[in-house]
Amino acid sequence: MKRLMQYIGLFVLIVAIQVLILNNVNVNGFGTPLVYVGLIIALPYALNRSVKLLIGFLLGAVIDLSVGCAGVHAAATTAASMAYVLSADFFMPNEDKRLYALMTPSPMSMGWGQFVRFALVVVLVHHTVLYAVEAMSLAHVLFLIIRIVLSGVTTMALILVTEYYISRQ
Amino acid sequence: MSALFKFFVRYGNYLLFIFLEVIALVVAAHGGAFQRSKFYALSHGVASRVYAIREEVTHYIGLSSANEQLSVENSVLRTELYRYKQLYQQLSSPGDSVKRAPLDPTLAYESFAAKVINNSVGAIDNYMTLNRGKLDGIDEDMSVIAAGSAVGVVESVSDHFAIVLPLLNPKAQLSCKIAGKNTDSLGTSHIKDIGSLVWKGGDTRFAHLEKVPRHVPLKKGDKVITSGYSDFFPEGLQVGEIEQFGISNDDNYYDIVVRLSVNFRQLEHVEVLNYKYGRELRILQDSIHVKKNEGGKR
Repeated sequence: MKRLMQYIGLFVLIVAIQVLILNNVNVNGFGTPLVYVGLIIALPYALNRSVKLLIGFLLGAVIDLSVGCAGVHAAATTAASMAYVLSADFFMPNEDKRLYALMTPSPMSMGWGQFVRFALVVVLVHHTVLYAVEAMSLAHVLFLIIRIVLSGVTTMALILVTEYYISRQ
Repeated sequence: MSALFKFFVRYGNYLLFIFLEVIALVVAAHGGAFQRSKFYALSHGVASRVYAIREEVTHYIGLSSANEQLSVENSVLRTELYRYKQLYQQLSSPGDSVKRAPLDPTLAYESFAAKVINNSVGAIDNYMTLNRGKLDGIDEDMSVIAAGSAVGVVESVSDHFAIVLPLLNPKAQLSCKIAGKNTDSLGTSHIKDIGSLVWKGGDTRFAHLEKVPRHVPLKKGDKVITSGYSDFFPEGLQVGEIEQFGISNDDNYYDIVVRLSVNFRQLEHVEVLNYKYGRELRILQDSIHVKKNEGGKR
């Protein structure tokens, strides 16, 4: 229960930070950091898979509603949580699943290398779906890729810095 | 039946995923329709209230650049204003429509925006430094104003900076008119008398108006504006208003305290006014003194 409240608090905080501050940040005109993906990454490993998908969808829907671009973020976050569901098993250490059952993916639980790879997969899936759906075409593929890469780099940087500080405490 | 159940258990997540994605994509594809819906209007109402709060918080951050922009715009507009005043006087003067009266030279002003980068108010001998100089078109003896009020006169210039002698310096004297309370923007008002404004140190909010004869009827709150008799300032700029006045027994003149309309302590953006014929006017006026002196010698 305490964990749930913590997660809801984090949810509200990060959505607010994203909508109010980070959506106005632009690195080189493309790279907007989309840290709310971090909320999907921070879902407990043992959480029911359907619940993960639903939370992902809900997160995207909330962002959509507050930004005013219908469905785009929801499609991306749902895809991102599916990426979590499918890839977490590869990245979580599988020595003792029960030990990690309550853990969330983090540098502490997986090690830095594995965590970076895991986060990269989720972030890339999210950004790719987001910008592709937003553009609604593959006409400007190069432009699309530039956006995905630049935005992905800034997002990853912010997520890793945050994780670094959490892991030091 | 159990096969169907097993199928759902096995592939339920994929079905859920596809279901959610389809919802999201359908909504995304019909973005316009969604944005017309009542639900969106509701959520947007909440979001825009949050945005309004953010705007309250963050609009201070952009304030300094906004000020800068406005001060530049002001100076451009003031240059234009003087041109139109000039044209207005020319066009409204009597005469036939072909041969108009010449342009009034006393309205030939041009304005530059500048920022105060150093400003002393605590001393007696106060000076002010501006971030514009000779290369920006600033020259000695140009007048400096802020928001339509007199500030001072450019005393000396380098290539990039200018030193201003502000009204808050006893060396600065400004010829002023006392106008009734109801002065309109064109400066047409009942002018009561003229006097000379001087600051004698102390409170930066007040200065003294001298040489106003005691027969003039004054009221607290009377406006003090520039007379246009100085070589620097155009006529009708605000200077301040009369705070209090009195007469000492053995004096023919009032002792008038003027509340200055410029807050020198918070001065940031100013305009420098270039009077195009200033040099010509000063040379002409100086030549009279030279002649007088020569005549005296003879």
